[in-house]
Formats: sequence, structure tokens, C-alpha cells
Amino acid sequence: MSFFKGTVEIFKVFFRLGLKKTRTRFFIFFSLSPILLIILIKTLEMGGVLNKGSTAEFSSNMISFLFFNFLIPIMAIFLGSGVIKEEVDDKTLCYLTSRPLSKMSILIGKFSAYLSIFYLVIVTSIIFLSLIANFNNLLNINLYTEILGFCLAAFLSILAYSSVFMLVSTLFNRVILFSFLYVFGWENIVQYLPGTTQKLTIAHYVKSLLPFSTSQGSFLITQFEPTAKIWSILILLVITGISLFLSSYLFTKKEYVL
Amino acid sequence: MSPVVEVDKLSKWYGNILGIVDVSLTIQGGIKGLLGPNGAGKSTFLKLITGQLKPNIGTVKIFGLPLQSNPQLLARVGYCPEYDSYYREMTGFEFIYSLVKLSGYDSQESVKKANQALVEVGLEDRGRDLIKHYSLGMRQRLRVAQSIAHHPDLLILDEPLKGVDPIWRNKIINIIKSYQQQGKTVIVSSHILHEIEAMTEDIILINQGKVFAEGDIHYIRDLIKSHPHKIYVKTEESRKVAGGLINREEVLSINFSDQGLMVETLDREKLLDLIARLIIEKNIEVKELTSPDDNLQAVFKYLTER
Repeated sequence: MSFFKGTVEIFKVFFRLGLKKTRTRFFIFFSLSPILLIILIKTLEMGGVLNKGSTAEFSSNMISFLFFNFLIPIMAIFLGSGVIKEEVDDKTLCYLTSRPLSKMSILIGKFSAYLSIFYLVIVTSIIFLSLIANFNNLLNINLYTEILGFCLAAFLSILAYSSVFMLVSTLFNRVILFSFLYVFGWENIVQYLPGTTQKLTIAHYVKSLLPFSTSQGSFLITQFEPTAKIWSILILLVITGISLFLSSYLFTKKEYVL
Repeated sequence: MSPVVEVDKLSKWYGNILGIVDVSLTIQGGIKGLLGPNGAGKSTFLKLITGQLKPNIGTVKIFGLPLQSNPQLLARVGYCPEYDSYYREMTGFEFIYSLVKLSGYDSQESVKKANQALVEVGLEDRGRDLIKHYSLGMRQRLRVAQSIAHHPDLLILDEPLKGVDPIWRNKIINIIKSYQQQGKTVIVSSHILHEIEAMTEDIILINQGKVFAEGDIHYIRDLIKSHPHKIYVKTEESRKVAGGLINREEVLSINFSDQGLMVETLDREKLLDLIARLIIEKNIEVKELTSPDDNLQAVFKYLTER
């Protein structure tokens, strides 16, 4: 089977399978639950209990904090680590490697399937949150530019993080521990350091892409020195490309004794 | 015509542990039984000829072509692994359908083949249930089904009867035999002699990573006959039993233990008859009558140390 056909077939299998996983359902619930919260806040705003515009501000802050600082990296950890690790741990890899498929198409097909599921979940939530929060302002074209900006940043973020974590999973066994330490240890500290050090994190380039400035309010966030958007996009794509290439290479060469 | 499977000087080791050593053989057709005790190297051999593992030394050819550089050959191979692994969130039908599709068939053909395979292993009524709700025996039948669903020319089955009830054991044996009648090749492994014997007379004996012997199953039967068997008799009347057995030609030696005695013989059946007669004639109360070394492992141990 050709690489492309093999990848597509693997994608179809794991897209269906991924939707059924308990983990995916948990993430769907967790990602969509802020919509209920924003409906409540919007109702309070429309009832005059909260100031006008407070829902839109809350929505943007929630997207940038909850999704980009927390949910996307966690999803990416499970996505990136799951592609190979769950096949090895569950001893199901032999069903795929005993078919006329290249190992690269197995890896890329499954990665794309899980990536699509998680991205659809995130994007649905972001779109609904933004639309509900700006319910009185739906004709404003800037709203849709902002939503597009969030969606692009979310895509590149989940793509870069998950491909890096997938690479880690081809190298080490304790991928989840390592990934958590990286996201909530290294990135949480380094991204706030002044100068070029903060550029050694994926979070820096993701935040540089967010459609509004995050340098308001907090002492730590004031240290953020964004990189130009085009460079951020390029750097995230390069990180993804290198990680995917190395993951595929290692997965093809490595032998998994089940 | 080139052999279906051809391995030359095949060796595989895991760190310091030897998997198989310097194995060279050809498999032409029909059913080939791979017989050996647990840890003998059977699964390693099967994983090497399905491309699951790469050999450290040697080559594997399937249908006359090197497997490593021709992964498309796997479309003609069906593989049933030894372990109880499955995708928990899939139904039986989805599992087989997906794997048939991954073998290169279109959706319509995959549905047809998946349904046929489910019927063959008697899971047509449970095909829409999640695999995690299947019993161990049903999961084993499902694993066999996924290996035969795409009608491969070469079927490789690693311990396919493990955990299957006696009725389905016979049915699976018949499925395997029907493959031979269709002119296809089956390689089946087991550590249980009579399982292999029920499927084929053509066997490969493997132990400690080496091919010990290859050929007709009667050969192993003869080897087993030359292997002294031990029979353990648990009784409080050991001396009475020993008195009845002493100086009998069937008995090689008698050793007393705390709760009974261990008798060594070259003719297990005759000795068991003799003990049974003694029990009845002398009205001896026997708590246990077992053969502690009545397995392939013991036979191989004896043969390799001989």
C-alpha cells in the first residue's frame, strides 16, 4: 500500500477509535464546559449584574489562560505520548505492523487522527466561547479575525507540542512525566524570564500569535517580549517538522519487543 | 517454485538473551507445526518471519522475496499473535473490518470479509459488541478471525488454541486444516504436543532457540517413549505400594518422600495400570497420582541433557 493510502486508512481507523476513547470524552467535556460558564456570565451581564463588555474580556482571558496555558499542553501530552506508547503498552502494534503498511504511515496517520480530534474539540469551544461572549457584537469583523487568530494559534500550538512529545515518546519510556515537567516546570518559569531565554519555549511562540496583547495586568506577563507573528509561525512549523521527521525515523528504525 | 518461507542462518538476541540461533529452514506448503516448550524461541521465530522483529544475523524470504525490503508481501500473510491484545473501544466487527481495510481492500469487500470471518469463528451474533465485553476464548477466536479474514496465502498462528473451549478448539483445528486443503500454507506454534498432532504430522521441534529436529511427528513420539517418566504416588501406605512395584520390569527406580513415593519408568501407561491394580487388590488409599514431568519441557530437558 502506498504511503498516502496507508496514512489515510490509518487515519480513518484511529479517528473513529479516538472518538470512542474515554480520554477524548473527558477532554470534550472539559473543553466544552467553559461554554456553560460563559453563558452564565453573559446572562448576568445582560441582566445588568455585571458591567457591559465583561463577558468578552473574560472569554479572551479564559481562552488564553485555560486553553493555551493548560488544556492544549495537557491534550498534547496525551496525544503525543499516546500514538506509540498505547500501541506498545496494549500490545496492539503487531496488528498494524503485520499489514502491508510502512511504519511511517502508521505513525503519521494515527498522529493526524488524534490531532484532528483534539483540534476540533478545542476549536469548537473557542468559536462558541467567542460568539457567545460577543453576542451583541456579531457583526464586528474584528471578532472573526480574533477567532481566526485563536484557531491558528491553537492549531500550531497543539501541533508543535504534540509532535515534540511524540518524539520524546520514541526516545524515553517516562514520556508523560517528562512532558509534564517540561510544560509545567521549564516552560512555566522560562517563558517569563526577560531577554532571549524565554524564546527557548514553545509557549513563547504560541503567545506571540495570540490576537491580543497579553502584557496587561500581571507582573510576570509584563516580562513577555513577543516574537514577530511570521517568525513564530515559522519556528513552530520547523519544530513540528523536525519532531515529526525524527519520530518517524526512530519509529521506523526502532524495534518494539511486545 | 520458490519456498513459501525461507530463512537462512537466522539469529536474534535481546541484549544478552538469545531468542533463536542460526536457524536455517524452508517451508514449502501445507501445515507446519512449531513445537517447543515455553521460551523455546517459537514466538521469536514467528515474529521474525512476519517482520515484527528484525534479525541480528540472517535473512527471511517470503514467497521468494526478502521481507524487509518488500513489506507489501504482508498483504498475503495472516498473523495471529500469542498475546491477548485488542483495541478496547472497538467492536469485534470494527476490529476485523479495520484490519482487512488495512490489508488493502475497499470498504464493501472489507465488510463482506469481516462478516465471513466472524461467521467462521462463531462470533456473528457478538460482532457488534465491544471486544472488552468478550470472554478470553471469544477474544482468542477473534484474533484467529482477523488473521484469516483477508484469506492470506500464508497463515501464521502463535498458540491459536490458548484459552479456547474444547468445542471451538476442534473447530479452529478444522479451519486450519481447511487452509491446507485450499493449497495454502499454515505455520502454527504450540507447546502442547497433542494440539499440534491434531493439526499436522509435519513439525519443527524448537528448544533454547535452536531447531532441534524437523520432520514427522512420529519421531517426537519415539523420543518421548525413550524419556523416563516420573509418577508420584501420594499415600500414607508407601511401603505397601513399593512392595507391589519392586522387581517389576516397568519400574526403573523408586524414591520415598515425606508423603508418598516417586516411581521412574520407561512405560508410563503400563506403570499406571500396575499401580491401579495394586490399589484395588491391596485396598490402598491413594490421595494423589500425578506425573510431574509429563510435559514437553521435561522431554526437551531430558533430550538436551542426554
